[in-house]
Amino acid sequence: MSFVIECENLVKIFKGTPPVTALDNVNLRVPKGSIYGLFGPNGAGKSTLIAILMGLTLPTRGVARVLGHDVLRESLEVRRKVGLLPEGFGFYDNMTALENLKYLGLLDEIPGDSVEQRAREVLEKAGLGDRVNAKVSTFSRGMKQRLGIAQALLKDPEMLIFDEPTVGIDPDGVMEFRRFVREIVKEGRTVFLSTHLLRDLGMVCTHTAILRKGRVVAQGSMEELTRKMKSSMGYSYEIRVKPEDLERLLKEVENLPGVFEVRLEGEGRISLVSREDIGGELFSLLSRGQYSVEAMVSSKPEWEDLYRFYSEEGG
Amino acid sequence: MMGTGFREKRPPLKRVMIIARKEFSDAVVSRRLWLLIAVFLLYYLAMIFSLSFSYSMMPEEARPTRIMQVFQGAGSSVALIAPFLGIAFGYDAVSRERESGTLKVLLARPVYREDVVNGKIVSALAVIGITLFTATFLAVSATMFLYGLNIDLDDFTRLTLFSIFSLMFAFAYYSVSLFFSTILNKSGHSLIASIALWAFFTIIMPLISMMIAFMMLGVPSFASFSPESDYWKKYAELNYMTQIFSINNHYSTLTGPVLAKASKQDVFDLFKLSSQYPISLMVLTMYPTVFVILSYIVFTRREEK
Repeated sequence: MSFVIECENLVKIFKGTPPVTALDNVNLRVPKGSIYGLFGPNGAGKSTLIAILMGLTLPTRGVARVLGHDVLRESLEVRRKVGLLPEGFGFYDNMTALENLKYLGLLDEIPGDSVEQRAREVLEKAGLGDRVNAKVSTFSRGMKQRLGIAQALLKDPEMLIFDEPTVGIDPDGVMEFRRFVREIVKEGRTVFLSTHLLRDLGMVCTHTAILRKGRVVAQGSMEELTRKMKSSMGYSYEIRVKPEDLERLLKEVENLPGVFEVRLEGEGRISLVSREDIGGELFSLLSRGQYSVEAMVSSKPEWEDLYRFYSEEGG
Repeated sequence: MMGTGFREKRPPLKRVMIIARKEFSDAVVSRRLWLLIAVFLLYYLAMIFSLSFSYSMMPEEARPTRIMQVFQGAGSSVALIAPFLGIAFGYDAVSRERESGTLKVLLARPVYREDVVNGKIVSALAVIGITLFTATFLAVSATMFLYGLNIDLDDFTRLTLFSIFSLMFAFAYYSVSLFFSTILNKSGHSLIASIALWAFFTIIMPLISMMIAFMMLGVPSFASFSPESDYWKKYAELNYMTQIFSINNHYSTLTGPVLAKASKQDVFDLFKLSSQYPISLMVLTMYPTVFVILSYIVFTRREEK
């Protein structure tokens, strides 16, 4: 597997009294073609890491490589190949969408005679084809986000970095963004995104790292992380039956293999936690015993659970 | 092909010119520029009309016969306005980009930070230069029209040199403001710092200089009121020494002799001026050089989080 981002013992300490350790020995590997989510609360060090990768900030110690280029010595090459959508997007409000992109496109080394065509292409792709000549000051936040994606795509990058791309975006905009991310990954690009809004972007990621107080507390593919969490925390189920069946069911589920916690929740509800996935066994037990089942829910871990689990484990 | 399909690597000068062109078009459509041009023109026109009014009261033989007589007082007034031209384009040159988030977008492109600073400097020089030269040209044209005066080569040389010194002076303030803009996060803070520096050189320093002179030389007697008296010579020397680092003082020192044409036969000599006031020339050149270099250093080393 080849990696587009590799960080080895990356440390960033901001001078001050007291000095602030923004990144503490970060080791990270982002596989090519993945949608890599960097999750963490505000102040975890996500934006600092992105700033280092883009050459906006220097690391105190350690090594970082993007697309095989050292971020210190070959920063210009990194910036030729990577598109960045920074937090807050950042546009010249007094200029139109097209003017903004033409200016940035020229700085992206797109030849003068084709920059307008390229700008129009990416605006069309970002769904702003009808707003080409509108001033950015008239754009909503969602439109600015799309314009931000367009500017990041201008240079036809091999990798895109999005820093908190869905902050302040409405649910439709978030859905659109997820669709867009999947689409650009299909084109062979890698997407590296940072967010504290796990619910918004967790489901689109193929890989993730959880950053807490400057440290990577977990990283890997989503399947790996979920499996590890479940084997440690257990699989949770909730069953609702008629009150007359409650006692009988309670005795039966306690004897199921792997069940280590059973609770009566009231109103005919039983919740239980098992070390293994016993969904199938539960189902056959309920049918075999002819219980009058009103509901059975297998609770899937939320992104927040994943984050909480690894944060507590690592920090 | 993804990544490198349609790129052409650009030499630094081309990158600088892309940034300069954008900055220049921003400036041209900004209200700020037109307001400053209006202030300049209004000032020049007020100067010309007030002189015209006072000359109309004079007998025919006392009226101006040379264009430089009208422009003699321009130096002190431009000294008051020109710094604002520099400050207006420098105080938010970098900090505004930082505040609006465009700096990150800009620096995420394959450009060096020096290119960004250079682009802004090129554009500022062009805008300030065009403003100063246009305002002076219009004022000279109005003077020629109103008074029926002609301009000779010497007048032209003097006015051109006056505009060049004014450009250097305004650019000195631009470079200081640019430095504040790179070092401070907020444009408001940068503006306050720039205006504080202007107030220091324009108001506070001359007052301090006067106080020092009075403390050392005593209050002038009635007999010492002649500019040729020893008292005033010593006063001028002390004044010059205490304001040795004042850009305003050196600008006035240089533009004074440029604009003072004693007679039609008095031909301006640049060599004489530079040998008479080498320190003034040096200080006027030193300020932009030092502050532009400082801006480079701060901006290239600064961490954009």
